Amino acid sequence: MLETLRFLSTQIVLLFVVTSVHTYIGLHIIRRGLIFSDLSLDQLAAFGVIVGIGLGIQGGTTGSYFLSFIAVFIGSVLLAYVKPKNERIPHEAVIGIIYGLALVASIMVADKFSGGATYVTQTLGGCMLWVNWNLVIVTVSAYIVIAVFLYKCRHKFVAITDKSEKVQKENFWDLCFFLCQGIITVLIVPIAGVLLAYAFLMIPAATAALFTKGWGSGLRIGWGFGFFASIVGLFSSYYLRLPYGPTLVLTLGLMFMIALIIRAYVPERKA
Amino acid sequence: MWEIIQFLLPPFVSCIMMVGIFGYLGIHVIEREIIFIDIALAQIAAVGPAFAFVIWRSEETSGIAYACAFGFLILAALFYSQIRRRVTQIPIEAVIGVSYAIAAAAALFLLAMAAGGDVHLEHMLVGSILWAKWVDILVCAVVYLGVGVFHYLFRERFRRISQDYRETHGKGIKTAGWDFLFYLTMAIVILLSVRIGGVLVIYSLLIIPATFAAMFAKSWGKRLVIAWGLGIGASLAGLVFSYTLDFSCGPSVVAFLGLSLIVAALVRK
Repeated sequence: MLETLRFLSTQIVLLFVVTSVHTYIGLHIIRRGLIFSDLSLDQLAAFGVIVGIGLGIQGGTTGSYFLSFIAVFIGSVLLAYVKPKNERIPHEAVIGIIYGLALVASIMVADKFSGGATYVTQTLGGCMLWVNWNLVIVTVSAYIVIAVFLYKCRHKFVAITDKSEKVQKENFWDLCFFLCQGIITVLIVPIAGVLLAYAFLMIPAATAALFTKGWGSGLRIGWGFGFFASIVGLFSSYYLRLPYGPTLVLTLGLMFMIALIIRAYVPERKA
Repeated sequence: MWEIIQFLLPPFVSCIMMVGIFGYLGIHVIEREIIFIDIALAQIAAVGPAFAFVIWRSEETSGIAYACAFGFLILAALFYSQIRRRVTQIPIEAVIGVSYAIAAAAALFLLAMAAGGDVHLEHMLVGSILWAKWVDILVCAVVYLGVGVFHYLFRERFRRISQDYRETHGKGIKTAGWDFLFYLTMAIVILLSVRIGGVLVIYSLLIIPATFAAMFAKSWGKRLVIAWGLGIGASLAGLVFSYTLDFSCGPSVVAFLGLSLIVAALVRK
């Protein structure tokens, strides 16, 4: 009983922290239409790990995390500074291409050492390490620092996304934003896997964006929705013995589908 | 020399065919800003075999598995075309992106439920372009041709819907049906090509030549010619490179596509 309680409470704390930061970043991502940015950063983080393994640095060690950070930093610079001036080319396409090339680079590096292909698949699916308190503490503290930073500078980020006013040094602020996204990616992917991390970023935010244009209300809807759905997912996976990550993603996804259908067939109230 | 040609001819022919169809569809994808579409549809198609395995224990390459994959793709095409018409609050790219996550989770979920269900999900990513059989190539050629002719006959309508969806929709032109046909033809082509090319190669052939072409030309005709030219050149270079230096075929082709895009971006600056 105590064991169960301890396990579930760790999970709930982690889900709570992850939902709160991811929903906020996700709202920006959805409103800018840069859906691919997350997978690009994920893949770059994985590329860092794979290069490390090629150099004899084991995954999960400090050295491996360091290489991931370098790859993600380079990725953030690319995401923030490579913006097509040509209006026929959407920014999303550029980010999608960065993803494709990062994946190709990972495969080609892995081609050249034995067993490399396994690592590519592993980093893709994410290997669900068992959550322990140390990892949770590091992750949670980093998340809090990032949340405070995002909150302090919220006016800049919101102005860029809403295009409500011209922001000085827009690319620099974009770099800060993508770097925050990159750091949480590097931290969360080894714990949750690519798919779950991506789902937490996208689904609560997308649901919120269906129903409101505001930021405060968007966050409240996203947090409420995300937290509720993930708790339902967590408990059903625990008590019905269903696979953890996929169950959580499916719960979030199904609730999003319901919200989408409601939005599609129930007319919006005119304010 | 003759040996190399004999060895590389089937993959080269498959590349040329894929360049042909995806170079064209890619221009639509860029115009519509639905960059995620290939990865999402391929992932949805992958739920088919997993589903068939759990229910009927059928093989990955069996008819039932294909039928299931096709069924899911029809549902997806219907879903995208309806949502695009009805929901304007979030970009359709976000809906496609989320549907990818759901499909991926569903496939993992089904496989976890059925012990021993080792459907080769990772093989799907890279494909096996080098080992493409002539039979497969022929089947693909026929289907590509069919889809190509269909798109050619109704090219104006497809172009207008992709270019200014809101306007066409506002003018009372029935867009949902055509939109459905667009997603469906795309899904059929992807379903067939994934076995040969793998998701990654198809994704790159869809996005990179079209982006490259958009840098240099405005009209659809010119863009198509540029995209095809780049695709053929990169396929040839990639295959020869992979043969001489012993790298995987698909990724090498993608690497050449990417390199040419980077060079072009630097030149255009």
